[in-house]
Amino acid sequence: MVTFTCITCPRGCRLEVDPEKKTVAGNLCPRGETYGLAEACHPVRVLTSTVAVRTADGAPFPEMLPVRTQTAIPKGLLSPAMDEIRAITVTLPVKMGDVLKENIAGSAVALIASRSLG
Amino acid sequence: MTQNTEKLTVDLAIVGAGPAGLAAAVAAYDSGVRDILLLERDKEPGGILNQCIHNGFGLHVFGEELTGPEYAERFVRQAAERGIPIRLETMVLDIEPPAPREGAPFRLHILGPLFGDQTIEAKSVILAMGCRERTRGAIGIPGDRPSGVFTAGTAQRLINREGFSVGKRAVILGSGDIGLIMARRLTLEGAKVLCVVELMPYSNGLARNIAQCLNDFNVPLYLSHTVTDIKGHGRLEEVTISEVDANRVPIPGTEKTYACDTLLLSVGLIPENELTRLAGAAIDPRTGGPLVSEDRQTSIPGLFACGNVLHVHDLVDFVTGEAARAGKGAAAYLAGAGQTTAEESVSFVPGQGIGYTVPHMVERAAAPQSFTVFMRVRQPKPDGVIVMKDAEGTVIKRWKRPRLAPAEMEELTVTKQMIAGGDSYTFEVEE
Ligand SMILES: Cc1cc2nc3c(=O)[nH]c(=O)nc-3n(C[C@H](O)[C@H](O)[C@H](O)COP(=O)(O)OP(=O)(O)OC[C@H]3O[C@@H](n4cnc5c(N)ncnc54)[C@H](O)[C@@H]3O)c2cc1C
Ligand code: SF4
Repeated sequence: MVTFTCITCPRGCRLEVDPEKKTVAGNLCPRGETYGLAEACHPVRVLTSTVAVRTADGAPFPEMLPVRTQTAIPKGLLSPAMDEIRAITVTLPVKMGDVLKENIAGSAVALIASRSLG
Repeated sequence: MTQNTEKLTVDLAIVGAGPAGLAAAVAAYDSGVRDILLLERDKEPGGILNQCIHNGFGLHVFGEELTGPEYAERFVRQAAERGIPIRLETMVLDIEPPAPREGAPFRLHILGPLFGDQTIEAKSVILAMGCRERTRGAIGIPGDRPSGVFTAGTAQRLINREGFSVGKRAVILGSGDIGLIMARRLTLEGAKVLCVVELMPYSNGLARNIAQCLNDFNVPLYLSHTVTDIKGHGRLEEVTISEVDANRVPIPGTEKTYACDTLLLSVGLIPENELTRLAGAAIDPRTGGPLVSEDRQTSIPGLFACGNVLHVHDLVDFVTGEAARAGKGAAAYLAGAGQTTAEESVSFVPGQGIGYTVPHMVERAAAPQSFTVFMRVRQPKPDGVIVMKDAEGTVIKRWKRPRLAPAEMEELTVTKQMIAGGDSYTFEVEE
């Protein structure tokens, strides 16, 4: 038996997961069961960060662009994904949802822009 | 974004274009108000959400997990689709309540680089100025005054918007959500977060943030601890923390020191109510925001408030709901619906174990069939029950909760029938 805090919504239920029997207790809704089972064998997180920006004529832009992984990626890939994110500079204009890099850190998940800029 | 600086009279002026101001504008428009003006001191709308780049917003409102900027952009778009004008880089300095004659407007004194100073006249005003952070001065930490000591929100802005790195080794004081979120952000940015220190015997942050921001990265959380000394010449060099007793007094001999260059303070938010006071609205000392009726109208008819300026919310989804209520309220006021009088209103009183309620009252005649009363409990408690009693002490309703915590705002649904018999109701945590 392992215990986790469900991070799916702000309620933050205490989950008791039995990975062998594949049972979850303590969840107030079905999403907690999905989360608990995934967390026991294959924990994933959405990664959010920022990347540097330059204007269309190549000058550095004084603001960062917030970015996120489109869906959650394996926890172990957070650090390599951060290394890739640090190396990215995007050129304006950017639209919310634009794909900035496919397959971030080999996760098969895209890195997308969290806002429009420029 | 339109920047019409000529137009100086409007039906509805909204101060602040954060999530509260934007949602209030959209709701007022959808309720029939056409002459609306949003006034925002920043260079762009969206408020504090622009720097909250993490996900976890919008689960209630949009049914999906968005980051702060995504949530803001959706509301900016909704306002733009309706053609609601926003004047940016426009600071509201003062609000004068209407002169005591029929139809007199509110007068808003504004200042900005595009137009100098001007006065805007509005028939109704919604306050949506948000909140600000408590600083080191507000909590009185002893020791040197080196650089490297930031409020968590300032550090969040520096890192997420301006792209600065604030330091390499950090201690965080206060386990509210912003402190927890920043522990993860600093760690991902390559800094070492040594610990999060919390004065209370429990955290004021959401359990999910303790899990995903501290436990995921093995950052220790010391409850019942505080910072008792700060050392550094020029830049911060060392922070001392101590355990505190039940009266929150540091216990001698429990000191631990950490060599670090950064100390983040996440020690609470205060509603930003200078303008509310200047306008003369009555303030609730418990929330630090104005007293309001269910439609979010303050003690001054035609003046409304919503979002963090009214009470500090931890979830923007609740801000959106509350702001929509204020927007509808202002629309009803402009359409000429009656004003609150003390005789007609039913008041809500925070009793045993409850910190405050918002709204503070509801107009009996204008009360919707059912509405939400927000409140915060004072102490964490597993398996708690909140009860609503009338003035005689008769229980009107009980709400069971699997867990009560000051960090998690409670929303209780009250119906018109429940308030039919009396004019004052108390909310308490059952012993
Ligand atoms: C640092 C910080 C981090 C937060 N993180 C989270 C989080 O992770 N998740 C979450 O759900 N909530 C978070 N919150 C709570 C968050 O504040 C609310 O969810 C929401 O943003 C509040 O909306 P608001 O519109 O009331 O205030 P704000 O977003 O603060 O907007 C207020 C706006 O009013 C403007 N303004 C103020 N005074 C004036 C004036 N005199 N004239 C003109 N304009 C003015 C400001 O510039 C600002 O744009 C955080 C709050 C802070 C302070
Ligand atoms: S189990 Fe359901 S209610 Fe509980 S935290 Fe997870 S998603 Fe939220």
